[in-house]
Amino acid sequence: MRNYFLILLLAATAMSALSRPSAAETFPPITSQAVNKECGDCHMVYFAEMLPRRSWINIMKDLSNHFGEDASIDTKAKSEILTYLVNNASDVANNRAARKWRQGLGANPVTERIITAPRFIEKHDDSEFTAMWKKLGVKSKSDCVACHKEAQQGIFED
Amino acid sequence: MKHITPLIVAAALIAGFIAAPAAANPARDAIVAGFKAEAQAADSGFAGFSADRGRAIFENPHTGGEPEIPSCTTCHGKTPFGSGETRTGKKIDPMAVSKNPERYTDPEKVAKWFRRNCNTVLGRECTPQEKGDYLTFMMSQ
Repeated sequence: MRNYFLILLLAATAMSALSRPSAAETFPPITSQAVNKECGDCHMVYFAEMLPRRSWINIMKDLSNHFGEDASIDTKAKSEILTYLVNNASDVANNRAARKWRQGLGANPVTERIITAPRFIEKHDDSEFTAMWKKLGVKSKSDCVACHKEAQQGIFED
Repeated sequence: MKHITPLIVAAALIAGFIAAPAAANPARDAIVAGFKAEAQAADSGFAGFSADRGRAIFENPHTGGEPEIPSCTTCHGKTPFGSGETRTGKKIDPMAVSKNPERYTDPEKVAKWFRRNCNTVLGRECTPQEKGDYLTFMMSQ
């Protein structure tokens, strides 16, 4: 009888593991208030683990030209944000997401766009995705929430 | 008297709420007054702000800034009454004061976003005249 239950339990576990896509990515919550406020004013607050240290330093170097827009902020907020991003960058932090996102970076030139990071391409490089983006009318690939409804909570499931 | 006082207070509050135009807000008025003083200092011929000029700033395409964002309406939507969306898909609340009474009541926020968005759309800072015109338009909406 006991074995019977054990088998059932194992089967249930296996089923639930199968139904959750193996691609699921989870990021730890963003703990910097300045990051949440300042970055979140204009776009989803991206996770520091998505880019290496050198990329964040470059991005924060000139916020008055932030992908063509003036996103300049005061020096206090800027320094808090840079510190947080650098301390949690993909090649600095030691969690699963960071380890995944630093794979394949090598000595490549600095990637400033998350959509050109190896992990992003690996997960989205498929004509199926292009079709889905078109179908859903996704305005920008940087709008993670368009498909990953819980992206801001750090949960990226298909 | 004890029982009447709250009634009077309530009546006064309701009357005040109904009578007050949507745009009346001391913090916002102070921001506009600040731009007025700056505009007067910059131009002795300053003749007041204009909602029509403010509308033109909001609606017209501009050059000199980020080519992908030629107008305020690119991100804020066609009219100040509706929501807008950033290029990255983030929703922006309406700009019209009647739709969004919180707008233009925090001087730091106003300064920050005029600086950023004028630089992005026009490729330069806006003049005090332009800022006052813009706010006058949004307060009339």
